[in-house]
Amino acid sequence: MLLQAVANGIVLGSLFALLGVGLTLTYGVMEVPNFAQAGVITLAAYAMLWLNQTAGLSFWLAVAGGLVVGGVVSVLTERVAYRFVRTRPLAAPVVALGMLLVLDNIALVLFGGDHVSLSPPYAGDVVNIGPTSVPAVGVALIITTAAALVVLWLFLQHTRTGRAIRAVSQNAEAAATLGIRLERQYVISFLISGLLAGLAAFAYGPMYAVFPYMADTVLLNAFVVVVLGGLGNVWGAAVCGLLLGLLESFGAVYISAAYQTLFGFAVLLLMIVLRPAGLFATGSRRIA
Amino acid sequence: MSETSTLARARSSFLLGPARDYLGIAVLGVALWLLLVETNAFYSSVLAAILIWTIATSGLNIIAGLGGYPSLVQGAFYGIGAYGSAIAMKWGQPFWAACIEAIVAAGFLGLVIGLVFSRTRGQYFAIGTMFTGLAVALVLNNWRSLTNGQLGITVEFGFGDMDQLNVAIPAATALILMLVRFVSRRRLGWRLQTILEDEDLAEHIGVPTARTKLTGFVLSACIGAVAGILIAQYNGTISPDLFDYYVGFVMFVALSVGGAGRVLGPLLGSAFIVGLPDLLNLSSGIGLLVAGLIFVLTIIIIPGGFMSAIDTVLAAATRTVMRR
Repeated sequence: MLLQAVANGIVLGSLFALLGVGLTLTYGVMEVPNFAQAGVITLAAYAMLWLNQTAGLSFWLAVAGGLVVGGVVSVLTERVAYRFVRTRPLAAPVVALGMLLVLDNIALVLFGGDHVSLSPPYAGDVVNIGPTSVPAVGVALIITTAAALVVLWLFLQHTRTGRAIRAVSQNAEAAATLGIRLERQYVISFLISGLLAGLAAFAYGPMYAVFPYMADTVLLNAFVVVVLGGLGNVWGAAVCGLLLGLLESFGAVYISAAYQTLFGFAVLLLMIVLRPAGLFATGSRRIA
Repeated sequence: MSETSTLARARSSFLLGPARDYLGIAVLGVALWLLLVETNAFYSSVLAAILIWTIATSGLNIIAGLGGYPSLVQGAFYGIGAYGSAIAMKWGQPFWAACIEAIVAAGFLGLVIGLVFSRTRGQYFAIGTMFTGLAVALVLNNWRSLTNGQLGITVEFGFGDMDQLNVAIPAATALILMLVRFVSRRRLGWRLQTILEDEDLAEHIGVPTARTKLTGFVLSACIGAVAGILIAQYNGTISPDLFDYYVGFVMFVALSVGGAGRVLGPLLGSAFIVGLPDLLNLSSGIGLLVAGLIFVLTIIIIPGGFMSAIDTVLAAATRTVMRR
């Protein structure tokens, strides 16, 4: 029971971490709370489904196609909408919600509202580790998240573009003064965030179901993760994602499964009251 | 120079006089009532939905429009008004007492949420209040002994007949619009507007920001509950999907599209976000898609919403008339 809760928690936490990192990246460079990320996940998941089941491509080719769709849609949201509100921080959450409405409902209009399932070749497999059993799709999710985080970390630390993104995230004006092209970093961050959303669709779709509003609730959890980790903090998001996953899993097992999401909310409340700048905040940045 | 001052005087004499504003809203209320009872059942129901949303969104207008705090929890107060009044009547309370209890319950929740989240600003406030909306939606779905879960509950009719309800809806709309107009030109409204402009500066010059935000938020919550009571009465049955967490942000959408901080903004916004999809008979998916598109475009092209676009057109027209 205990070990099973831990295993479920790690699976859930990996998902939150994967999403939270994408959100915190776009927040860091552009100060946009990208609610539309949920819509990107939905469209990427439907693209995978369509390529796999209607167009008859193999599962992995379909996943690759879905990743491309995720990246393209995410960059489009930046080019079509967010870039016009960059200097208006109050308008950013509003536009993000509008884009979420648009993307979710494009999926609803194109593919209908039914719950359908994306089934990878390993769909029914179960991995037994000692007394706990984890479905193979869960293991795939953990591996995907771990790999994505390591690659992202290497990218941010050791490439020129990665350093540029971190510079913009620390101080956009100073970065621009040093000759970093802001526009380019914005687009790249949204591309990465879209690819992460695509990965989330690949990992999450087979575990639950694909439908137009599939990612909305999960994304709210990812926002808790981002707030816990401190907006703009990539490692904070990864660690807090895991913590929140464990917490919700324990809450679901020992208290009530129906209110699972509320445990995350409770943590968010505590956090806002006790440490409003995030768990890993340096203390210099105030909430604004 | 002289042109702008003539313009300002012209506007203050025939557009901005306080008595004229209240009279205008009252006339609007009567017109809406006539429209509500004279049109056929379909248009009448669309109009009723628009008016009820106007009330809920007007509540939001106080904290989000005047104060600039992006509250995404208005849908929850709307839900508490509906469920609170329905459940209180089920427990044998008379209608008027049930209304007061529902409004007090929403106000109390507003007070609690306000106390917690007034420590946060901007994006954090948006995320926190959105989560509160989700929490309320989860409770409505899962507390089956009280709310009967997803099946919903039937609502006892509190008015004498349908005609009375048809009077109550436009009357409440007009009264709430007057209330917003009143608040916006009183101390609370001015203080909220200074918070919108620059909260730190407001604090420095002695505006009690925490208390102001809290008062504004509680008032918003109570007005949201009024809308909830009316929708419960109008529909006859209520279920949690009417008050799902995204309702709060669609209300925010309606406010921003219509014109945040403007008295008539909620009416225009609700007409577009609620009325247009219904009138065009769009399926819910396309309706929300259109709403989202209109919304994003409005925010990008006219940041002040439709009301500010109307202002621009009026000002241009006045200028042309003056020149002649």
